[in-house]
Amino acid sequence: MPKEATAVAAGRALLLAPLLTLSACAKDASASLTTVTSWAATARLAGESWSAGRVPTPYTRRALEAAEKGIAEAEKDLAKAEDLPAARGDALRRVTGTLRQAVSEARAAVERRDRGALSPALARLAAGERAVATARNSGGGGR
Amino acid sequence: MKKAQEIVLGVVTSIGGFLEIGSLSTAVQAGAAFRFQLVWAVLLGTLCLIFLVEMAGRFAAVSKHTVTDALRERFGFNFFSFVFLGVTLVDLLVLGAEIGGVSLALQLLTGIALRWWALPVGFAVWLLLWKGSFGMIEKGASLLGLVTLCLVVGAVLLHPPWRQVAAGALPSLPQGESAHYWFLAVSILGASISPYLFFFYSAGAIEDRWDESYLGTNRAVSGLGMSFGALIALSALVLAAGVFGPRGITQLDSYDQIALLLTPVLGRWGFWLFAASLGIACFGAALEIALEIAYRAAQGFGWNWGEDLKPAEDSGFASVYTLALVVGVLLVVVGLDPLKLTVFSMALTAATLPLSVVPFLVLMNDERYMGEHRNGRLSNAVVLFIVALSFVLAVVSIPLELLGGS
Amino acid sequence: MDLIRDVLDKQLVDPEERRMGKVDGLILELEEGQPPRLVEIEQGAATLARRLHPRLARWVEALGARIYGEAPGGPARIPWSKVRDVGIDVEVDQDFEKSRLYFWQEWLCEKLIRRIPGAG
Repeated sequence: MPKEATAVAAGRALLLAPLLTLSACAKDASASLTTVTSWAATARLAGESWSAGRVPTPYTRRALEAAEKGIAEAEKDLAKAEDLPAARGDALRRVTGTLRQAVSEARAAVERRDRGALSPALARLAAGERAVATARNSGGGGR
Repeated sequence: MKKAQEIVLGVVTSIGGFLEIGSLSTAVQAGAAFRFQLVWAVLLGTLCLIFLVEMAGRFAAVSKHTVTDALRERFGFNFFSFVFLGVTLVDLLVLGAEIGGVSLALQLLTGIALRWWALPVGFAVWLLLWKGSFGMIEKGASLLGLVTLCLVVGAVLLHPPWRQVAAGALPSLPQGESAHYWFLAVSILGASISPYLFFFYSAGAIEDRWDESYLGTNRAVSGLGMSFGALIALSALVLAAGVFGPRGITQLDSYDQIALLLTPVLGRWGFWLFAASLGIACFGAALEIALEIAYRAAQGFGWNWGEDLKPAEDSGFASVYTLALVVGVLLVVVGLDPLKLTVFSMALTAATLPLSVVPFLVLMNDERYMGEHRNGRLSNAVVLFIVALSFVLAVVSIPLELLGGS
Repeated sequence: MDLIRDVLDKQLVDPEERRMGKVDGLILELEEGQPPRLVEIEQGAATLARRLHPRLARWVEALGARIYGEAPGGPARIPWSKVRDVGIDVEVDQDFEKSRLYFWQEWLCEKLIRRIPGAG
């Protein structure tokens, strides 16, 4: 029958895409740094908003937790990045480590509802973000 | 007078229908990463959707068939079953994403983790379908959907450089990260042209017993409604470009980041308004998608269907949406990341567009269904061009994005 | 009339315009020296499955027998002589209550839907 003989190929396209999700990801240094910066800046925005009483505590805690996790994962990717000279890699990891710690402190401060302890943590975040930006602009993992 | 009322109502409905988790999150990601550079993708997607929705309404009004009915009739069961499986699979993913979106909004509002919300949310959607009428669902969801206008307010208060926003209407090549750029463009196209919208619209036109006298109403509703919807998506993009980009938040991996979209602009209200917008828009979309999956099954197999019937009168129809919601809830309960699920299902939507759109275009040009109201050359060309573009971009950029290259 | 174009896969309705499934298959009678003659309309999941693949059809039949237990044997058939009109829908002179669709919708209703409150 003419109606019966049509379009098997169309269905195949559908099967292909999910299979590809299984493939592993290898991120370059620049992508990992973007992730770090984005999470650090998110943590700072969340912390500042919390200080100003604009966002609720449970949300802030969760967001800071996610930021910590996000930075930690990006750090792992950074360690695996092949396009990075060893010395620069070490320097970058020091900065990202500081950032992760600052986020962690910010989270602890929010959990204690301690506004006083939050602001130094946020200040260190800001400094760390600037350090990452400088490192990127001076070549290497930059773009 | 009645027609004017229909138009207003239809436009309001479309706002609720257009903005869902897909267009919201893809627009926000695009704004954060590429400022106004992807405005063109929202516009192009919307243009295509306007044409498709207008066609779906015209098709129902003139031929008295829903698109699904005609797909099976015209192309036979075998072809229909491919389209059916493909589109339904994607719809289930999108349904999961929408349920995830409502759950997420509730997580933001209450602090209770979103996985706990999936089941109650699925149940609430199901209960409305089980007990409610089509009109109630359509009108209720869309009136509440007006809360999403707060995004427009936010974007205006931000005083964005309108010139640059307008410049984004013309496509331009990105500086670096081009794989991610094209992937986002594809996701935006998929999110805007979501086929569930025009399938749903054609079923709605049959439920409301449209005839040829509705052609004008149809044109107004599809044009105005979808444009308003796009306006809200564009506002989300502009907000993200103004709020996230300058702060260095260029890559959004989680809704915990997106939740801050309105806070810098609207202050204390921002957070709650964002959560409410997200929750309501996704709830409305979840209702529509669950219904649409059931419509497609019922129309494809010739069952009784209609949201106004009691479940006992159309048990097949009721069983399908029940089952679909179970699957959608499961996707969230097993812990799939809602943002990844959303973006992925939007890109997949774009990749499968030819599957649903091309046969539909054939129907729109078939004299036996459409008589003198057949498609003109312009509508054919516009839709074919945009769909082909989305498909090609999707096939190229999805693998690249998944492989993580940039 | 072009059977494949105008009849196959169309909506079947009873005299009260109630939907009762689609025209899933057509049964033709072949006699030597005569043109093929349309005798029946066939309906059912097994009929549809056969159009995709014969093995799928056997599988569907086995599944059906398992679920329903004593089900009406074979696919549902409606004599062509009962067809009243072929338009947007195919109207047949047979009540919905006698259709296969009605049978399994009632089955589903009884086993599942009515057990949930508010089914009406």
